[in-house]
Amino acid sequence: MRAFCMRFFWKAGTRIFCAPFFSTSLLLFLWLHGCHAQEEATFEELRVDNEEKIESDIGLGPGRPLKRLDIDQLEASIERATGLRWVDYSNHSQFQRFRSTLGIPDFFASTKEDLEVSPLFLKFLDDAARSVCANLINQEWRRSESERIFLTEAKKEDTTEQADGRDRIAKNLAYLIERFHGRSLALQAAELQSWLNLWKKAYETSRTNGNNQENAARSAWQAMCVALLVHPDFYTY
Amino acid sequence: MNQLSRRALIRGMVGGCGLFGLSGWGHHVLGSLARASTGINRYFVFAYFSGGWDLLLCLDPRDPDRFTDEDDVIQRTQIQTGYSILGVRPNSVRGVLFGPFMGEFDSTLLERSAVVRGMSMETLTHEVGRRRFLTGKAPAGLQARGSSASTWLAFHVSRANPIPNLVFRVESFNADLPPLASALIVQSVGDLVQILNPQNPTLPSFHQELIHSFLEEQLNCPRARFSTTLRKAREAWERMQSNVVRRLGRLFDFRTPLNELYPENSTERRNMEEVRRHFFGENGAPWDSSEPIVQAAAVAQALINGVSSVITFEAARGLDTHLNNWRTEHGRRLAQGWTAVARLAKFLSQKDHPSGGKWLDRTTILCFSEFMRTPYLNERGGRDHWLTNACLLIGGGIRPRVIGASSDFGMAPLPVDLESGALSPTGVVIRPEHIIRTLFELAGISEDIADLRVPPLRALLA
Repeated sequence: MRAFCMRFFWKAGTRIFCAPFFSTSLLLFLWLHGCHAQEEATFEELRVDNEEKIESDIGLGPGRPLKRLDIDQLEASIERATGLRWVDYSNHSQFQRFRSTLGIPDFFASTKEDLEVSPLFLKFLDDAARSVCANLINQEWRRSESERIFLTEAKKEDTTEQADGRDRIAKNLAYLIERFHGRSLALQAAELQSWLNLWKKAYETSRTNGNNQENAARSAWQAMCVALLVHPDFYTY
Repeated sequence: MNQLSRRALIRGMVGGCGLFGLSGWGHHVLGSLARASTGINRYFVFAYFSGGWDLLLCLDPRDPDRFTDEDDVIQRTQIQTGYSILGVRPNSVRGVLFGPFMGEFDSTLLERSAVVRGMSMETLTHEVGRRRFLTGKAPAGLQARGSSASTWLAFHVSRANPIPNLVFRVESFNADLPPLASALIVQSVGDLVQILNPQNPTLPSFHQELIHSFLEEQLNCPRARFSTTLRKAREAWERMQSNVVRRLGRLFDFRTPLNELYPENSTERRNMEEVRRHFFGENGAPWDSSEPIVQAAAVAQALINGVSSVITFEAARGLDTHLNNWRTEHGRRLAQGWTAVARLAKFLSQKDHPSGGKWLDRTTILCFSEFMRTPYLNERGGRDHWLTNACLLIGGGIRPRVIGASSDFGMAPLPVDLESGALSPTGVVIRPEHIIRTLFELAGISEDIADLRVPPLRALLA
């Protein structure tokens, strides 16, 4: 029996693997896929990356793929995070106005909502973010410190030019990431630093374009608000 | 024993090629080859008549002198044309009858068209019929199986366009192809303008750019590249940004004065002037930007400005007339739909294509509905759903003719020889998948890429 098995496998092995074309194709296939994988990230890198962020990477584990919020969830999430809705001049919800284009089922012609992250979805999200954030920052700038929901840790006049100002901005960004994305980041986390860099760049470009210190900071916070809303961590789970 | 046999060599080649094809790279290369073979400048327009059309009033009428609305004729033929109720008669174009509600789709266009009659839909359900015509596959229950024909075509001929697959008011499916082939579905032309134009309040451009590069960076990290959703998000974000930056929305804004949209003497402005004049005349565009005529104008703009090469629009709606609204509404809505298609076809037949010839020589328009309405009136004066169907094709690569027929008893589908197009008892009954295979053939795709398992209807091809 053992001899029969060995003979069988040897025969099969030689028939398959002796064909040079197959071997060439196999090598080419493995080489191409190897390159492809190397371009993106090695599995080792990915493992380390996941291990580092395991606590904060909700939905990015091996369990299931990310899902996009449906439009009703998105509308509710924006209101929850900013306290504001995306509305037109007559205070009607813009998401509801475009509900059929956005693919909300009417249970007559369609019964299932398309949850693909499409250009259409992102365009509306971008429009919503710019509208809501402009209103939010206007309100924040009028509110007293105790009433604020967006600038809770930082002061209006804080900039990254002063050390304590930078710390407060970092704290505020960590608070906002938790508020908008549901992820708590340590103040030293690399990811928080990239948000802080974005704030800094937004502030500096605003200053370069002739804004005074306070207006530049205000404009930077508005950009942060938009970036938080259009970030995939906001609309996926 | 270790000698290389011919069989082992062939097996090795087949296995190797199989693996090569299965790899993403192989797919990409084969895709590129397929695209290269299709050439550029092929355009496809799908005009959907929503609700189930009355073929006796358009594509498959009967001679009113033989098929009178008298009881004994109706009993004998199971066909009640309803012409005497409506006070209309079909028209003859070179000996072929066409229904009285073809709108502006006149003899000049009909002479350039191919009509396929006596098709079978094998369903009386709207969703099933519609999804079968869109995908070429019978749905599983109500669930579409496979991708829409427009999605396949978009992937093969329209990938370089800013919006590869544009759809007005119709469903679209993508089960097999990368997200870039997915349709951008809008409910009205106004929505399309809103989607493609930057909205107020706008961010300063320097902040917009910062956010854009920040997101790109975030969506480029290794963990994002291993997530399908985030990969799609990255692609979608880039497409959205480029369309907005290019302000494509103004191409579809038919109501704003031209001087607010375009500089003097620009090509875009001339195109827009021409389109507005042709589609809306002196009255200007209707307020309701979901009307078929506005959609048809948007299709023309999308084609001639290189926005998309594969477009689906809803030429008519509200055709599901089970009650006496068949008498009051069906013909009017049908005619409105045919008028929209006719203006589009005429516009494209007059407009020069930059590579020579006219736009219609390179564009194929397919007009279809989910099924026809019953050939006899129900007790409420309307018509219900019927299994038979027909469709019309006009434009590049299409041989003008009538293929197939429905029977003179109850308008049942009849078998046809697919090569000659003649009725043949040994032939096959034409189904939507035959039409879709033919469109793929026109696009230069000879393989059965969508697994439709039928041959093309060669009799349709010029």
